[in-house]
Amino acid sequence: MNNIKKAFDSVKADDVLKTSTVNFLRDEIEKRQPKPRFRMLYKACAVTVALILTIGGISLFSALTTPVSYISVDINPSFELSLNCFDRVIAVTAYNDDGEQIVQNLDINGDSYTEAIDEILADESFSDYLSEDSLLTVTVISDKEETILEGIKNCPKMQNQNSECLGTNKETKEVADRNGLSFGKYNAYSELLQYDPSVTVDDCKNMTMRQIRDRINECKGNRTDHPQQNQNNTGENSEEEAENPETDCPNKENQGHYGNNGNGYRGGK
Amino acid sequence: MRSERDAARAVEQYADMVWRICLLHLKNKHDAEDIFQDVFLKYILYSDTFENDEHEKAWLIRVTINACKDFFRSFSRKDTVSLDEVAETAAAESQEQSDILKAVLSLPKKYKDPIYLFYYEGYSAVEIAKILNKKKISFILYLQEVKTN
Repeated sequence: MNNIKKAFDSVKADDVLKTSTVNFLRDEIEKRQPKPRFRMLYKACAVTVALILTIGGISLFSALTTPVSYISVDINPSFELSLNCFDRVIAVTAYNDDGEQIVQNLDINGDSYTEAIDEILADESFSDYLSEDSLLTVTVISDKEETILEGIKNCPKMQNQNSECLGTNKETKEVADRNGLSFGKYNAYSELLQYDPSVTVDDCKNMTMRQIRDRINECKGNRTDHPQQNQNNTGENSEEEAENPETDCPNKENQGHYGNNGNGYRGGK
Repeated sequence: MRSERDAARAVEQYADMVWRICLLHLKNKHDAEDIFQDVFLKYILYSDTFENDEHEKAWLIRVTINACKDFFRSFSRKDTVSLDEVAETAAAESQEQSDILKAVLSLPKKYKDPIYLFYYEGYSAVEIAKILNKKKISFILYLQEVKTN
């Protein structure tokens, strides 16, 4: 047995054969690999596709999550809807306790703004604030302000509401944010300020939209207990009205009637 | 497909074994070289993984023997090269070893692989039967026949 093993031990593949085989195998492996230029092309294609998908994904994500339009809904509850470029609600922000209570009950993220408005108006908590005396103010900031205002006015639930639909600008929202007011209410405050320079942001925080509107009308000498529904006001702050402000508008001493009554204000109630 | 590094390792590790099996069957150096390279080409193209070194080694033995058999089937060749040529390729240290080698090579084909695998590679009868895809009893008969000859 040992002799057979020894005999076979002497049979070995020589180094030349081994080297040539390794070289042969290397050539075969290389032949079967994609050509370098194609490999580069594949890599470039893969990188390009990955880049396109990444940029596309980021762009789509950004488009879906970046607010481009805003709708402020104010009675006494004040809250704002943020809309993406597809006019879908992506955020709802409350600006007072009443607004917070309403917002907690709403599930309108992803809805179109018209669906959202209808859903808000149909909400039981919100409808408690809607009465003949109340004034619902819907204020819009958008590059397509007119379209959105038109859409809101045509919402089925907006019919027969004491409401006003207004447009304003982004600067108003920036100032309103700094003052802790919805831009809809801040817009009304700005209008009132033109007639009553003594009014403060804090005063307006505690006033319903009806009270602010009545105060404006009062200052303008146009007392109207319950103004009619005004859905055609799509302008920003009414500048022509500001040209003739009442100078004898009540100041601080007259603010008691719209001050905080301790129970929070409920529009029209 | 396996890497160049795998190929180099396999050649380094199994070259002698593959070469011996090639010579057992072919005896012609040039044909043996062709089959030798063909076996390792099959190795790099084989994409399945081996369970361990033993599995890999048994696979190479089986592929080498099959490649040699296929070679004869394809070309209907006869062993035209004298055993002296094979003996010359082996650096036998003594006349005795050279004679043993010649004796093994002169055995009928069906004995050569079992003899080599049993006496040189150290496989058991069961393992050899498995590698050669033979029934165990047949191989034991081979060995008995070899011993009596």
